[in-house]
Amino acid sequence: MAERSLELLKGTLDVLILKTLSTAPMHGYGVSRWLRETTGEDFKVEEGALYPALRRLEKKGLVESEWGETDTGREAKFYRLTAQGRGALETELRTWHRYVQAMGKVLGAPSRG
Amino acid sequence: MQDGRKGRGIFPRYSVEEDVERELRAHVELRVEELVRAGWDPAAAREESLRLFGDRDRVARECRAVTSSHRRAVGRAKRMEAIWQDVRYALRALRKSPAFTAVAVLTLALGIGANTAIFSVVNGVLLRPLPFDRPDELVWLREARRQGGTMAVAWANFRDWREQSRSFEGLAAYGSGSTTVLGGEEPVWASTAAVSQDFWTVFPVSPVAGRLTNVDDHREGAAPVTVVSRSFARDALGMEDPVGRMLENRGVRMEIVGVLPDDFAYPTGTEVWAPVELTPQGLDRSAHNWRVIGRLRNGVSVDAAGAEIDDMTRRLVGDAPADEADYLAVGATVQPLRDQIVGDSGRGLLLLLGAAGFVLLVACTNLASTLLARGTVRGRELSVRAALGASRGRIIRQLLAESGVLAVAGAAAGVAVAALVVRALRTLGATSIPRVDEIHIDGAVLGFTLALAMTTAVVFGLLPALRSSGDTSADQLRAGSRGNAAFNRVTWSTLVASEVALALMLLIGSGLLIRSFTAVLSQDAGFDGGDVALTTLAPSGTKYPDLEAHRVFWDGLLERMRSIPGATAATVMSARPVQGGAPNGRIALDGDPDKFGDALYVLADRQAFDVLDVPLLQGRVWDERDGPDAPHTVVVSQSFVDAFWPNEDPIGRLVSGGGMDDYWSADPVAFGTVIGVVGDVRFGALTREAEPTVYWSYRQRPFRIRYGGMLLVESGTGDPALVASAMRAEIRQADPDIAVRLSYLSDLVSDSVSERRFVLLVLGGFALLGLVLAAVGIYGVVSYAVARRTREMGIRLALGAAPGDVRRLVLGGGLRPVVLGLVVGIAAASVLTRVMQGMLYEIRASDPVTFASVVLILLATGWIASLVPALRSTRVDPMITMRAE
Repeated sequence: MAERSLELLKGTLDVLILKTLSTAPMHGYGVSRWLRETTGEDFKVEEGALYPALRRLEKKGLVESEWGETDTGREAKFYRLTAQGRGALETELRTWHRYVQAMGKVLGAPSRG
Repeated sequence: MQDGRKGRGIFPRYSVEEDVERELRAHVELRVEELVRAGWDPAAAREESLRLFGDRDRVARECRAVTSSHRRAVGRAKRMEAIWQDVRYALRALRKSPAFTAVAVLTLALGIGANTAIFSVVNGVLLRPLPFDRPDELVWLREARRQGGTMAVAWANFRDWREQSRSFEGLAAYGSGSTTVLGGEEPVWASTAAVSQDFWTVFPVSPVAGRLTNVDDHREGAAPVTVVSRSFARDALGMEDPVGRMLENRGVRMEIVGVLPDDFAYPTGTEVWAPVELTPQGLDRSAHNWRVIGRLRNGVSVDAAGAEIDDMTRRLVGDAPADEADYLAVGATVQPLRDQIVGDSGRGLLLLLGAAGFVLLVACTNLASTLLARGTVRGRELSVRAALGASRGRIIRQLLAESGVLAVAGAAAGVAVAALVVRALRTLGATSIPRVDEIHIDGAVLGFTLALAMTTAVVFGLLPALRSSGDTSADQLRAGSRGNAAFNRVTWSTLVASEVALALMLLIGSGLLIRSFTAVLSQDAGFDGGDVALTTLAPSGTKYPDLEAHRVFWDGLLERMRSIPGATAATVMSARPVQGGAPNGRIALDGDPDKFGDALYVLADRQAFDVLDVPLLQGRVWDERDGPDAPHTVVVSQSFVDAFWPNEDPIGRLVSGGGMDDYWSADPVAFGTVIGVVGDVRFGALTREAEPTVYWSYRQRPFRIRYGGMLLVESGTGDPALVASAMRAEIRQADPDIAVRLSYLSDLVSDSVSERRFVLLVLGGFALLGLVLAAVGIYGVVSYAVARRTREMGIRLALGAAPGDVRRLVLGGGLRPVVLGLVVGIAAASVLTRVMQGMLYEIRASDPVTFASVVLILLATGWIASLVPALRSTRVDPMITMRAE
């Protein structure tokens, strides 16, 4: 059976974006490329879906944006994590770790049969 | 980031549209670049890039939606923040001058409070819909008189309207009044109504217990039934559900079949409703005894219904013989029911609302001039702010925020003032304002107050704000506190003049009412009621089955009254003075059935003229010679003699009772012989000339007291309260089944002028308030002008001017705008007071006495208000004042 690419869990995209931006401020395309490279193309995302998500995060005050120029001199909108966004990311990460641990205990337990 | 340009925040770099477009395009381009670097053919790379991007239109749409709402939220927050900042700044500024703030809030509280209170009355009485189902369809019907005006409806006409008209869903006749109702522990004095079949079609009420009266109840010979109000059931009968109990009402025992909710009371105050059709009604088209109400059919206008009924009435009545014509309808009118319930009170209330508006204008003018003065004082502070980069708009907004904060504080305090005033008005207006129970401070009133406060803030704040903010030039910084003196003087003169003009109009309005009220009270009603206690008594119809029984009852009762210690005279009467209850009829004169005159018909006893202190001018009153079986004798009023037998001897002449008693139809008509002439009494109203009146002895013709009469007892001590409790005890002993409601004749007189008194007191209060505010305003402005001209005064004094001259100068400066205001005010008042003409009595709207007194009052006020600062102006050492600058 061929390995399936992982479907993105609902709401996970936001966390991924926050995590990505926590390394450095970057433009939308940068976020998309970083995700692609880091996950080794495991996540299949329509690249466009990133943008409404970014803007929603901006509306929530988790990221802020400003227009700037890329290394190649192209105009692009850059996003950066706000203090509030950093806090939100930490909360999400803690939750995620607890979740993984709990799942690990259950799924890692020896199967009977 | 790289170039550090700030793109976010207050000034977005791009429109939402553009922002999204550029961002998405950048993504696609960057992807193409990357693919090309990886060796893709550019065209293929573009295609791949677009494919990977997904549904571009949907993404763009979503992005636009999110960012638009984000930007709107940011804008709102910014504006709120700016307002909040202005408010905080205003609060700080106001805290720094607590005296000014307190006076301003108080002034506004009075002005806004007056308006809120009066508006809540206007709202409750005039604006709010009547508390009935679909109130716009309700109308009342009257017959038109040949002599003009309208009158109540004859049963035959009502019956024909009901059968033939097509404009109404229902048409009902009713008669109402107060009487003794038996059935509870005690006899109760209750308001009852006899209503016709369609009454409940006109008012589709849901009973809280039992049922309404139905078609079977509303016919001749049916078992008598009745419905009562819930409060009557509770208070008079002491039970929640009295269905099945029996009541006795006007001589009929009736079973209670239903209870109505407390929020229904038509006619106003009614507690007991019973069918009117149990006994047949007379079909004489000249007997106008019925009130008629209707509910219009869907889509039929009041005018259309009016035209139909008017036309029908003309046809029905047809051509009447000449001597009948005055008593028959010549048409009919249909009017909204609201007009009947609200009556004439709308005029007075709107006058008061206008007056309250004037008070608020005076208050605004006061505040505007104070703020102007303050603005000049603060000129330096504002100049500094301007120099530090605040725009003129910003400063205006700041100053308006201060007025706004003041107005809101004033409105809050004003609502508290209004709550007190409304309570007082409800008590004061209890007998003179219709729908008084519906007067509350509710949402509509608070909305009105809020709108008023906002308008007020702009009215009194804008001029000073514009003025002060315009002054913030560098010159101002250098010049210190001295602004543009000439401009200020003109502005202030205008403000003072308008205050004076407004106060003048208020004072003239109330002055006219005071003068006409005095005229009303000084009317000679023809009697002296200061020492008379009275009660209306309605003996049970089953206990006293015939007229003879009634006569015997009253004979005995009057004997008991005369035995009360302190009582000097007692009488029964069929109508009370000044309240318009005496019936008017066509009297045949001199034994000639073809010789007629119109006169009031009043039943009385021999002591009636002693009780009322009405002088006997000629002949005698009744005595033992005029017993029940003796030939009937009458006493007539002087105006009766003047009208029908001028310069002739009235004694021994004959008059008939008109259609007022059961002797009219006798054949031959039973006449009464005139034995005496008494002074005139005003039965209609205090303000209505006495009408010719014939007094009959109740002992000879008891017909008109068969449903009750007025018992009046005169106290020899001058205080009728002393005999009142004895009256109650004696009546109870004579017959415990009669409800007693004692009052005093003097109250009757004052009740009859209560609406005038109400309008007068409220308007007078407003005028006083306006006068005080104006005086404070004049004082403030003149003081301020003096304070600013101290230096000039100092120089004048130093140069040898006499202090008296300087004082005169100041005084003149203060009085000039007052005089200007008087001139303008008189011109305006002589136009405006014309709307009051209908409310005035024996006084013209242009009454010179009122105008002259008010002008004098205002001149004196202006003089005193300017005198204080004028005196102060010369009391300083010239050297000190000159050094001070």
